[in-house]
Amino acid sequence: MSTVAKAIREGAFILTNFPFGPPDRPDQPGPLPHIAYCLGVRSIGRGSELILAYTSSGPWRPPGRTLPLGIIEFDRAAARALNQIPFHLDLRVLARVPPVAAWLPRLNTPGFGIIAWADAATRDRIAAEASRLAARRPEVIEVRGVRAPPRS
Amino acid sequence: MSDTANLGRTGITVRLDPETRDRVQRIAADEHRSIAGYVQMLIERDLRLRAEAERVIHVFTAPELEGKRPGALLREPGETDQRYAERAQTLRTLLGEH
Repeated sequence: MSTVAKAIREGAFILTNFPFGPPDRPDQPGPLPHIAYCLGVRSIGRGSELILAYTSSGPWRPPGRTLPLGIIEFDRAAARALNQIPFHLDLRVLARVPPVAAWLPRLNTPGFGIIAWADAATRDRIAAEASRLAARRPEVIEVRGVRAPPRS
Repeated sequence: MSDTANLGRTGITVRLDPETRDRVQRIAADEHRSIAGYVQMLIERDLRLRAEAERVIHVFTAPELEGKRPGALLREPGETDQRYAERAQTLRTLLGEH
């Protein structure tokens, strides 16, 4: 695993060209740098892949509605701890990307584009929410996107 | 709609301002529906969209990774065996790698 991949780990909020999907091509880097959360890094072939979750500024919309499973809001205080404005994390929108500059626009700068690190409690909170999301009955999880080949 | 089809259904009353009611009536007529049928269709469509929003996990995969079999998850410093195993399994599930 490369040095870069080892530097980017679970808990990193990192600037990415997150693939947005329609109207943009979902299999191409997104048009604008966007902060994503790294859920983990896996080896793949001779390289590695980052598993990223989507973030968006502001609270979950529409306001007042119960948060769906997989959404975590970071209010003013929680966001400030990460030097950010309030935002929400959406664990239902994921991306698998290699650690290359096409997907990580600040990869070749000091810090690799990592803008903040989640502390242990926040990492555990996010991992627990991901676990709850994954624990739903398989028939109510419908993954859209290219799947990795089955494990041998 | 037959009486049989209505068995077990509950009626509701919806109050609309005249302008909205006129628009709804025109749209329903264009679609060869009754106003009640149109409102029922709207409700069912919204419920489907909500169900999909709750169910679907979108996974975007970089083309460079397609067809490659992922290996081990990088273990975090100090991560317990249990947390590591749960995290790895969670990610496999969310990515559709059952």
